[in-house]
Amino acid sequence: MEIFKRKKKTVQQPKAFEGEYVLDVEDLKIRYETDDAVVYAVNGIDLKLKRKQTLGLVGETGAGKTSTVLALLKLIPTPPGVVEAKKILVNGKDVMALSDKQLQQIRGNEIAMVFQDPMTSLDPVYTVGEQIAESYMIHDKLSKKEALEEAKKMLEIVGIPAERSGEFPYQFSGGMKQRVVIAIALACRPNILIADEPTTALDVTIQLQVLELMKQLNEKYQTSTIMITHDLGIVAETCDEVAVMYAGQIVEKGTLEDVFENTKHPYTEGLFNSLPNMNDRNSKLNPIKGLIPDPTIVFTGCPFAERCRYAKEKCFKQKPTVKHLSESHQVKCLRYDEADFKIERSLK
Amino acid sequence: MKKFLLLLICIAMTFTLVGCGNTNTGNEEGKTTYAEEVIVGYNNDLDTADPYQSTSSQTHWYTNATFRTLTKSNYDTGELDPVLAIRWEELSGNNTHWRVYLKEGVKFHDGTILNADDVVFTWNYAKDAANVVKPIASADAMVKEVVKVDDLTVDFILNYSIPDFMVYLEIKIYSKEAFDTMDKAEAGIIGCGPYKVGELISGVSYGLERFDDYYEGIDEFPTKKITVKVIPDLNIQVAALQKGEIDYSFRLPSTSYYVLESDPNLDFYTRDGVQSFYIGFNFRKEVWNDLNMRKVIAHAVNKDDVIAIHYEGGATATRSDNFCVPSGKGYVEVKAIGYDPEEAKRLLKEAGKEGMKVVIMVGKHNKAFAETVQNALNAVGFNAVIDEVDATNWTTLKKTGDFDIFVGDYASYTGALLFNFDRFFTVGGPSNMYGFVSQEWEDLIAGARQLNTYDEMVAEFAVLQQWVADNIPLIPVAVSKSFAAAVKSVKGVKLAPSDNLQEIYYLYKIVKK
Amino acid sequence: MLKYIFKRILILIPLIFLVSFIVFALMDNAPGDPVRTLVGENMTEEQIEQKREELGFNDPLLVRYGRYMKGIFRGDFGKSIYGNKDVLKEYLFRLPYTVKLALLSIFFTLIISIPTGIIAAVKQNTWIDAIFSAGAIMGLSIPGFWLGLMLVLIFSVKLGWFPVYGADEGLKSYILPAITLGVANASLLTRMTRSSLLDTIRQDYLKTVRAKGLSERKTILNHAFRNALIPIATIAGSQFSGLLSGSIIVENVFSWPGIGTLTVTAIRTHDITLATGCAVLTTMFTAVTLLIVDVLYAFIDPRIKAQYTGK
Repeated sequence: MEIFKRKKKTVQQPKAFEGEYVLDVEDLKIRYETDDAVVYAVNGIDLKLKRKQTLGLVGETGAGKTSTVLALLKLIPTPPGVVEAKKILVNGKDVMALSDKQLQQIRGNEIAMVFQDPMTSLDPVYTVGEQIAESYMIHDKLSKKEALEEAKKMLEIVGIPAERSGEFPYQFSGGMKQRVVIAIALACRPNILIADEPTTALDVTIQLQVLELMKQLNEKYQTSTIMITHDLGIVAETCDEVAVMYAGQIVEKGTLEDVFENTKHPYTEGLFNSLPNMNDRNSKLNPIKGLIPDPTIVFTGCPFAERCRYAKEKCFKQKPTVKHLSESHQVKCLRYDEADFKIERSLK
Repeated sequence: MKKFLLLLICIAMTFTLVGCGNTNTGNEEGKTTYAEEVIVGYNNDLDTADPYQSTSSQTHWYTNATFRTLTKSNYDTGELDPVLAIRWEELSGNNTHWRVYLKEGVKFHDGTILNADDVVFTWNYAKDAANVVKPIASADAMVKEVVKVDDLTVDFILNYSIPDFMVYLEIKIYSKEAFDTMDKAEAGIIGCGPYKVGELISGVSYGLERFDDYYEGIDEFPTKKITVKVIPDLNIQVAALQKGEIDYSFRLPSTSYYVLESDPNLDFYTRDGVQSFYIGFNFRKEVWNDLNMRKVIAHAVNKDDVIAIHYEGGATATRSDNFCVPSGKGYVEVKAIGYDPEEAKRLLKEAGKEGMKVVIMVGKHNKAFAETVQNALNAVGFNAVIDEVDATNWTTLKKTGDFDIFVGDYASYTGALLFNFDRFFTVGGPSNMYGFVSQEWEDLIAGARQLNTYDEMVAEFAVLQQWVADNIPLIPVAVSKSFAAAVKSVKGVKLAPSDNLQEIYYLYKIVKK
Repeated sequence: MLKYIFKRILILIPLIFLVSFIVFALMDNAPGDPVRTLVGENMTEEQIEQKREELGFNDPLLVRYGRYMKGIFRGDFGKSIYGNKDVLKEYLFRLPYTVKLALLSIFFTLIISIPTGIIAAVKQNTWIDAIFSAGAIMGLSIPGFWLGLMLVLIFSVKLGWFPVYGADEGLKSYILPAITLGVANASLLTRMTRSSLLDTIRQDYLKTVRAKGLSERKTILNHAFRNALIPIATIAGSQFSGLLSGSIIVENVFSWPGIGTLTVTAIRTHDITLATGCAVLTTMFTAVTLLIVDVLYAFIDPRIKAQYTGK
């Protein structure tokens, strides 16, 4: 009924949340039950994200980082996945209790995600403008025309000329595709952004550009961000806080300073040690001995024990619990029960 | 067949009488109303409506409705009926000069009147090879010249004595004026029959429209339009008949015989046909020139078995001992070499040919026939094998193939007396492709041709039939049966012994009594 | 894009030569003699020879072929040996019946296969999937003539809903033959849809779409299915062009005046002129249809459009 002329809708302002933690996760456990075996991906982690904060989630491939964040959007396919937690609160809402419709309302709207591989993240048969516009049509209920207009604006914001909004993904380079993905994620001004290794697939020079862009946008829209990466350099550049994951658990968490200057966990130490020394080109590389454990195994003790140079007998038998070393810094290592335990990095 | 028609006429008359008496069922005058259109089903499309441009059976029976011939063999009485030739005389005394008198006032579909010019034109046209087909073989060898005597009289001067020459004048007559004024394609479809060419829709239907100026009047033809629908699948035709979507069909699958016969909504018609089914020999192989060897085969095969197995227990063909078909002119019963497997074994042993390999050449459609023969031959001591060949190759293989016997079929020309036997058994005959040579036969047939009167020829033909039954240049096994079905409201069914001879133009459909 | 279309049309010319020559030469060398079959048994050998000479059958193959091709490029496809009918006119008369039937049939195929394929993929490995997949296999295995006859028996003869034969009663006539033709194609296309969709369901960009907050239904239909469409369109396109050459079996059962019967009858009776004409015309028509389908692709998959326009 076109009796009422459609009011020109405008895009909403960035979402605001008044609580302390935009993200509050307690004891998240995720396993995948397949015919052959059960894969324990995430084994009890806690995460709290404050407003306007950027948390770096660090770990090797297979540590459980992606599963963790997918659970926040309830995007884990539930056969075969099983998600358990005391709570998963996104902007105060318990994700596990929300209906599908309610979930669709917050996805892309309050919490958005940027995925790892820009080459495959975009639908090849729609223009970039249409893919950004889709977000507006879902959440802001704009008409297609209005949405495409907004999409053009968004493109400019991420540094792509608006005239290119009618082009298809294959016509863009990797870096530009990633910008489009970012544009899609931020279109509806979510207050939580999850970036899953957003620059891993890009060349180094482009990496810097994209990270710069993300930093700018974070500033502009005041988003809280989880930056997943295995690159400590990126963490240093972009994050306020760091959480280190190993075998589905957070083994060390703290501010950037805590973790970089005051490293406590042997695994974190290993990560830093394995960075090649730019100054001494002749020195040997220092990887952490061994491989990440088989995720189908349930450990009785500390999962890092078999690779840890500081491991003692008790480490194999007893599960470490969270030890708060300061208000911001926590670690999961049994050896810190001993008063004078120090790792080598601390001694430098 | 005739009795059936008689019965129909009686019933029709009774109804008319009853109708004439005032009944109180609300019918004004008891007048029968006829449907304007009758629908007939056939499985092939009409290639042409010109009788001299195609040999297909659809062209034949379709033009039976649109054209008229000079004479016509009556397949029920065996008589030669006058049609456009109302009478004729033989003037020479030795059967070489025939004078034919034409009917007056016969109108063609183009409005012109039949006269001698049309006949002369048609005869010359028909024997000219520039045109596609000829109705009768060796027409030019027979006739020296055709002369117009006056508007309604034509003379045929022959090269030699042909006592039954009038039979050969069953040819459809064109209108010469049509050929003078129109182009060949249009002129060739103009005849003087009770129906003219109607709507032709390629692949769908071909129709006939009543010609109201037909010279015999249209009282016998109440139907204004007869439409033939092309239905390629014969089983669908059966379904269409049963549902009344077509009114009549004479082209039905043999497997539907009993179904249609017992269907209460349909009238079922059947009669003997004109196709002979026989076992032929390859006379190029020396062994088959021995009459005793041929007798072995004749004694070995039980014709009743073949009928039972291959011809649906007699639904589609009946047993025959005579190569001449029952509706053929001059047909007589003959005494044939009967089923006697013991005698067969004896003769075989005498000839010392036990275990001999016999190759039976057969087309796919006669496979079951051949298998029955094979079993019979093996039972008496032959080693019979079947060679199944593609029917399109038949002509070539007949002359060059390496076979012993074959299963063949032949559609007889019913009117011409000696015609069929002549072409099969005389040296050089068009159907004698298997090398049969018999001096005895040559003498017999020459003698028969010399005879002066028609009746003498008929008597001699009976002798020839028995000769064939005794000397078995081929072994007749069965003669086809044709059958047709019509919805109960359709009458005027005249079932002919072969497709070519069908006369669908008598059909009519009663709508109200 | 126009350049691409033009190039495709140009290729038709060598294609026509190739097809027509093969058909012409094959039929010429096939056993059986059209002249003899045409004139029947009543002519003498000399007369048959004369007829053959007159119809031009004694000229060498290449001469006859050349004559024939010259005619074609003037738009004259000659006259059939039987019945002397104009080949082009005959073909064009029958073509609409075949085309309309093909369209209706592919329509049935699409409305059956796409929903069932999508459901089977989405409900993969459940009993619904099993039923649809089994149904598809059954559909593929059923012989066309059996299905056609069964449909006629049940729906035309017993129930009387449709005519028993012919194409005369408008839409009613088209339904049963379209279904018969459509079933085998639908079975194949269902399986194709299912597997194509299973492929695209696994793609990464669907994660992006879901993370946007798009409903599951729209994710599958607008994104997964839209991408799955490409192989589906390929198969459907080639099925459609196959239908265009007519189906001799369906045409036989339903007394359908289509080009399948025309072509097969021509071949069977050694009517070289008609058979070659049908082959050439069907080739042309099929090629054009395939071109249209390929152009439609460009609208489904923009990467293909780029190939055509050379970007």
